[in-house]
Amino acid sequence: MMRGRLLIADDSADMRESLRLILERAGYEVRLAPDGMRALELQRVAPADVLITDIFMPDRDGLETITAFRREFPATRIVAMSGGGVRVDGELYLEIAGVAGADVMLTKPFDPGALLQALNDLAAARA
Amino acid sequence: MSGEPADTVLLQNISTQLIEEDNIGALYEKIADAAVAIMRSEYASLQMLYPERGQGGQLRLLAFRGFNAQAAAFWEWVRADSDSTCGVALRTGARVVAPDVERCEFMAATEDLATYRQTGIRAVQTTPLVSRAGTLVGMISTHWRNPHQPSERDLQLLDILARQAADLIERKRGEDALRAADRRKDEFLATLSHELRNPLAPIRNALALLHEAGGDSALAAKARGILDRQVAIMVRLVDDLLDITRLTRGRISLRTQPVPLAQVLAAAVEISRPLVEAGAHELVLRDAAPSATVIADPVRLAQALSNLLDNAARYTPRGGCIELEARADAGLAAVTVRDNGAGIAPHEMPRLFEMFTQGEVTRARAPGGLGVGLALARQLVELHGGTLEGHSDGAGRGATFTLRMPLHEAAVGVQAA
Repeated sequence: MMRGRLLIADDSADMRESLRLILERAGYEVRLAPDGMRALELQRVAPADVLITDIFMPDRDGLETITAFRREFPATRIVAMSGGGVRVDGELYLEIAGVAGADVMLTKPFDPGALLQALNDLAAARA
Repeated sequence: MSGEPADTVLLQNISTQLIEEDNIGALYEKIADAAVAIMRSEYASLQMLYPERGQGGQLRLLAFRGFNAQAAAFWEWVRADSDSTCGVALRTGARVVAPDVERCEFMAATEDLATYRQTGIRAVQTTPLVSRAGTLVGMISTHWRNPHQPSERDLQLLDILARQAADLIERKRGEDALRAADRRKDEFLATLSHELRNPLAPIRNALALLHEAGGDSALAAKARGILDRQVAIMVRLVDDLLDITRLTRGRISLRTQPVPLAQVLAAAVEISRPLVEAGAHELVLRDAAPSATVIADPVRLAQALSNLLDNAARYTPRGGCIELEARADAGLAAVTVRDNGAGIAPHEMPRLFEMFTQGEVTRARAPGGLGVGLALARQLVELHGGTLEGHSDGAGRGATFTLRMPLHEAAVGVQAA
């Protein structure tokens, strides 16, 4: 059963890979990008239903990525993940991500079950 | 005689005003006003000394009275070789009085004289601001439209103002430095929380996978690999934190022994491999001193070097080039780490080796790390009796760090023989 197509953007290879393993086992089709620029390129080739993106990344940070996705792919749902910033606490960055257009905000580290639940809720809201 | 009680009242009023002023910018303005009142001058200027700038330091204009925009721009920064009275006062450390700039020898035919003329200044005096601790903090100058020889009494009163102003400026600068240090500590704590959360996220994912893996040994192996790597990252973070505490308390003792330099280089490369590989960088090792030996704690020296390599890996865009070069030169071992990465802006250079400092331009790009690597590296190198210097041609132009320490003499002797 294919539950939907996901795109994960995170600069940590272990974070990308561990999420991919969890989400594939849950029946999703998963693509990976090491930064926001690559995520946008992948999305143009093969659009995903949900983007799961880190906020702090090289080349194109998560906030810029969220803004770009909102503009170019308004139907794509967005989950933002952050371990906090260097100047202020993580909650504020996630709030900004929300303003930028993220649908769900998760503070790292999070229970993988919470991510699966959030994806279910997003799918239910769209159906 | 008749002027004295009025002078005393004036000084007392000024003192009260200065002490009560909390805002440092307003304090500078009040000092300039006070100088005008005491010296009965048409103009005044207050300058702060930046001892680290240029040869012999530079004076920066903080507040002025009567200058037009052109004069303020011309004297915004005054170098120690300037032909103005403040330039001379900076060179000599003593008060300079020019009762008539048209008759002042050192000003003849200079750009400063032209600016005095254009501003309508005919006489000027500059008095050094020296704090009670004996530090030269800056200069206070007053200027007149007509030729003027200030009286001894006026100069004595100005000296009292100058001493008070110097103390206040020094104290304010100290308070500002403390506030800046406090802000850096807050940023460090935010960075620390970020750096600890980042490895925890995949660790939590990997644990969830292990719980589900059951008989799927391939999945379990992948999960364990993630745990191994991310726990190692956290261990290094915590080790760095412990080292900061140990170093600031002087509690790191080296276990020194003669060590082949090549062994230290290899160990450092091994420690930094994860970050270098994560950035897809090319690491080039050039060892021009393969038989060099140093007296060192091999673990600590490799740690210092790997901090330099990690720094290069963090601050170089993906797919960059990092060179690690060693050579023996005039009794010294020199190890250079060079990258073609983000570089260092000139204004960031003075704080390069300070604890909790990270490059500003690239920080938004998530270089990671605690901002302590270079500070730790320098302290470790200095514990070894060596030096560590950083160089960059500017932002975006790469950086070079050079570590120098004495070669082991017995080994030098063997090489010479």
